[in-house]
Amino acid sequence: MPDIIAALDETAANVVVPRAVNTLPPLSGSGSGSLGPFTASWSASATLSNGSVDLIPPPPDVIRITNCRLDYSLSFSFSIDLSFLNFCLPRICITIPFIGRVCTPRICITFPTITVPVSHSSFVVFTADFRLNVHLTGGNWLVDAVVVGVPSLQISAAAAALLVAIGAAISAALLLVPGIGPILALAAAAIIAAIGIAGVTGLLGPILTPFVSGLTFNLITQPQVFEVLPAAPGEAAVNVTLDSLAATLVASPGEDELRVDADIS
Amino acid sequence: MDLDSRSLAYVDCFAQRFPSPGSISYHLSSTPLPCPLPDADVFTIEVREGDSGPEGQQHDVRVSVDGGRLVADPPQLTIRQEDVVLWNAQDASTPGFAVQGDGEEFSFSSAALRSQCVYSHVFLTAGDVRWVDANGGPTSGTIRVRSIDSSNPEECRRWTESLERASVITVEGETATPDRLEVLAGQTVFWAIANTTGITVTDERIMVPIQRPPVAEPEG
Amino acid sequence: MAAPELGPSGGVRRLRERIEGEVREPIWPREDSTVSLTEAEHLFAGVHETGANDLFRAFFTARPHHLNYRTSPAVGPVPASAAAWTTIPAISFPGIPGGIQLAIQFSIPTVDFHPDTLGVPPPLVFPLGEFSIRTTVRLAVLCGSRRGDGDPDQPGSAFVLQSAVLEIVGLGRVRVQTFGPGVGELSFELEAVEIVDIAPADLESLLECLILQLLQAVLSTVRLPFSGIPVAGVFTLQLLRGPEVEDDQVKLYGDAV
Repeated sequence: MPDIIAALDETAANVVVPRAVNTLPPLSGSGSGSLGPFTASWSASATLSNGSVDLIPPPPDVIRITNCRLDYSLSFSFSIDLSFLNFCLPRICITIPFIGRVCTPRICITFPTITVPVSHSSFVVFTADFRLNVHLTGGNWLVDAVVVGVPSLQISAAAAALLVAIGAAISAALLLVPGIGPILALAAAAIIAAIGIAGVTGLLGPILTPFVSGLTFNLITQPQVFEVLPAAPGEAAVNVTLDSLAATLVASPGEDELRVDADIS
Repeated sequence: MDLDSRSLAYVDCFAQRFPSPGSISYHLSSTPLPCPLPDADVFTIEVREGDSGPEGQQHDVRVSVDGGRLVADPPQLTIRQEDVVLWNAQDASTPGFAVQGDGEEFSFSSAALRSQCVYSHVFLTAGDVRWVDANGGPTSGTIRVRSIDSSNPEECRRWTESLERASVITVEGETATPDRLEVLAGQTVFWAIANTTGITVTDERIMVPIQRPPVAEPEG
Repeated sequence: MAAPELGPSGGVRRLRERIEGEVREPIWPREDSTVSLTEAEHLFAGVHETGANDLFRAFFTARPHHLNYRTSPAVGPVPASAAAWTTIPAISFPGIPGGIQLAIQFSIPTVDFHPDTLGVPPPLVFPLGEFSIRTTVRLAVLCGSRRGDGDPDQPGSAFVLQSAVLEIVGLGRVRVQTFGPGVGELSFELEAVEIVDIAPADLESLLECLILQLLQAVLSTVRLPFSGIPVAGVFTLQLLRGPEVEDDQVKLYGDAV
């Protein structure tokens, strides 16, 4: 029998595990990706929180977290060559008594390449399985939960919201372009259609997926030299050595438990 | 593209009628100085006696950049009395410029519109524009530029038809007629200058108070 | 003890009886696969007696002055470090200058949580939910006589260190005190001791009473906070049930907060 046994059922796990997830430091990343026909340079940060915990003993021996929430903030910019909007005005002639007949030449209105900055925050909810990993590293016993595989993110709603945000950003950027007025709505619609949900999904997925693939959070950290009682005036600290640690998911009649065994000396 | 006759953009035109025969030298500059810089290129207009007809003839000069310098095409013109020369940038890459020239008895400047000349501008952005004389004169006016919902076929048709129509503001002395005008984005407005002291047509919003340096006393 | 009987589940049914003849409740040996560790609560922490003895050893090794008491180094030369001792006043007695010099030393106690693994000496009976504790106590006294004054045939006073080591077996309960959600401590309360093989009975009773007080005082210094229980202390335990001493463990049940 181990020297120390601790066990949590799923009710306690739904307190302990979300707390561990919520204390993960913010994740961040940057890069470039395709936004439909455009290339976007992006930076993003994300935090994880919440989730319902299900302890599933072998098989498959996982801690399943459903409805885990990934809150993210995304900043990116992309360039749009607006030359497809170029048009030419007709020649205009006037007759002025003291000057005579004056005609303007054919003036072609040209549009530049613009950069559209977009900032958007939202969240996605996902389900992921985690497997326990117990290891002694740097003088500490660690019980980590390591994600199994790559969780699938349901980003369709987030993509739709982001497309709306992109549309607003495009409209704002187009407003700054001289001469765009009469064709602003048409230009924005044409650009949004070129991007589409597929384009946004194609950008968002590769940004968010790395935040959850390889996800690891820590459940237990205990120094191998464990301080039972701290030093006090006239009293030395009392330490024991954690010789071994094991963590398992156990099936018991009526409930599943996370069990941690430790031996000390 | 701001409304400013001192700096002609590719959506602007400046036209000058030449009522008297003679040789005219003019230069193009990106700064509206009232005199040419020493190394400015000089272009010429030879005004021959006798007119071209009841309404005169228009000669177009395209302004562009070549080798980092503003150039006129054609660089030399031969015209008749009462003919009109119109300057316009070749394309959007040409920076804003001013046209200033002198003859024996005649001078003109797009930065000081004086007599028998026209300045035109295409308004591209919706909004209210109050234009003033940057040379300090009282002449001014207001132009309301409206936009349309181009997704509406009827509005779109109305707009494309309006692009072929021009609005004209006549300036005589210190008075501009009309002093209020409403146009659609994309339409052209002409300022026909009959006789003034030399005004500019400048968007009031880009008028920056300039602190003039002290003037040196003439020698002697 | 009654002969073992087979129970319905095939397990061994043992009856323990007090010396006074009370019939105790039967104790079914628990099979781990039939009941969860957390049972009706949500968080479980169990310290096995081997772990508890490791904690005791660590405690008293780090703080030996809770085992060693002396009036002067003369009565307690070992261990040599003064930090390993608690100095106590001599017993004042008329005619004995400086009082009676004595030392009391306990060995590091070991505990045995119910069920009884090592056997307790009569008349002690190891009830459900308690622990037994084993230690030795060394009593030392600096003994000597005061010679007659001015008698040339009798030299001056001479003192000899006299000591005795007694084996002690005790019974006690684990107590808990909570100070708030997730904050509490375990303590070990001694209820009875038995000194093995000492006569006459009155002397045994006297010494047992004395040593019970001393050992209660020693054990009162051992307070194990929840946070001091390796691993289990990570989970903030709101205690709902326990401590329960059974299956060679002290068990705590509660909620994670």
